[in-house]
Amino acid sequence: MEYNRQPCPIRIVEDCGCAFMMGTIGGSLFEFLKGFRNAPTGLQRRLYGGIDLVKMRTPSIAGSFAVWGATFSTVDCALVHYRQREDAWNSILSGAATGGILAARNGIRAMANSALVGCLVLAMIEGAGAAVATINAADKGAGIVIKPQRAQWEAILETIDPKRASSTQDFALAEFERVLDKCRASREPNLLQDIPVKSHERDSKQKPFYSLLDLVKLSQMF
Amino acid sequence: MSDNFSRTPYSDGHAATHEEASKPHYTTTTSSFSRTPVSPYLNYDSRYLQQAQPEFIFPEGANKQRGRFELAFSQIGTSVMIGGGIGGLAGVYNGLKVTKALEQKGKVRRTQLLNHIMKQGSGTANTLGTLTVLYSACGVLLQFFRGEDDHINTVIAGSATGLLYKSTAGLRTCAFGGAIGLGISSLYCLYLIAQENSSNSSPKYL
Repeated sequence: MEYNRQPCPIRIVEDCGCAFMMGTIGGSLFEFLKGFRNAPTGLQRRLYGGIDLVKMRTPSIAGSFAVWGATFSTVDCALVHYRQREDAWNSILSGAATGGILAARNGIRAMANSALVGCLVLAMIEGAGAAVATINAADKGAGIVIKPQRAQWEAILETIDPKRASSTQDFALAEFERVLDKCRASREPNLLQDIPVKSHERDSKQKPFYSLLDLVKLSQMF
Repeated sequence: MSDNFSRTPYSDGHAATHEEASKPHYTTTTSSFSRTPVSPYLNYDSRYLQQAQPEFIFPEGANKQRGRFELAFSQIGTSVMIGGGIGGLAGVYNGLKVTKALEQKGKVRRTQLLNHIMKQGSGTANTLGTLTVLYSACGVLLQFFRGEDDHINTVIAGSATGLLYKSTAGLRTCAFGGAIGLGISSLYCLYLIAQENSSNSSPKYL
């Protein structure tokens, strides 16, 4: 399925919901394992221990995740609006600000420590994202080989006359001769007296030579 | 021959006999054709263009509406924030009442107020958020297994949410929770059906 992030004011609500869901699922798993392991012997008692701990502690864990996600997204949107750009520094500064804000009631020292931890966590996340993008770009670059594009008429002439695939100038001359042959077949009768004499002279030569007068007459014919 | 084209209204072909001989006979294609004046400088009749409905362009393979999984995040976030707001207001009320009864002043009163707001706000937010996570999870699972997304999913997801939330509090309370979930989701679906019948537009399934 395709998921697109919403623009900035709605993104706060969506990030809050996403963080709460992640906290619920992850917290449920961890608390169930902890309760299962810490319970007395017996399968039924262990299952009940896990379920009880999930019921007791998962909502507060999810709430913490939601508060973190909402604060982070709010600061991120504020930075996007203030700096008018979106890059990795927005996330890193948002992580630091979120850590500092959420530890505000514990004193300045705790604020500084939490801000540093938030900054480092977001820096690692952005670094991992950049590393993955670089690896993908390197993989894509190695696979693609740029081939030179052939002329379209060159491929057509290969099918018509496969023997003349050596050079392109022969194709042009052959095309030109073909056009001239069609023009000679549909000549007007008043030009017949002049051209056969010259055509006899040109038959003796190996390569045909088209005079300017002949071309002018052909152009006037058109 | 009249040259005032902008003032001449479009005739429906019900003119008199002697006017029919002079004017060409037009027949309307749809009943929504209007009598707005026609500009003589246009090569086409622009009234044909007004009959089209608004059209949207969808990418190939994309759904025409958002699925439940995409809506789940918005629902959970909205529930958490609304719960936090309601709990915060209740915390303000309880905090004022308690500090007034204990006759606390200054910093102690401020700290007690903050504690009441935070505890009750986060408690209500977490409760509503957890309920919405259960509802969204049941809805997404039902959509995955049934292959459809309609009102039946909403009702079953609501009932399952109530049953699950009170599942460890005894059979009687569990049934009561399921009934509450069934009632709320049924009312919501009835509201959607009524809105659908009134506005003649496709509903947005939740």
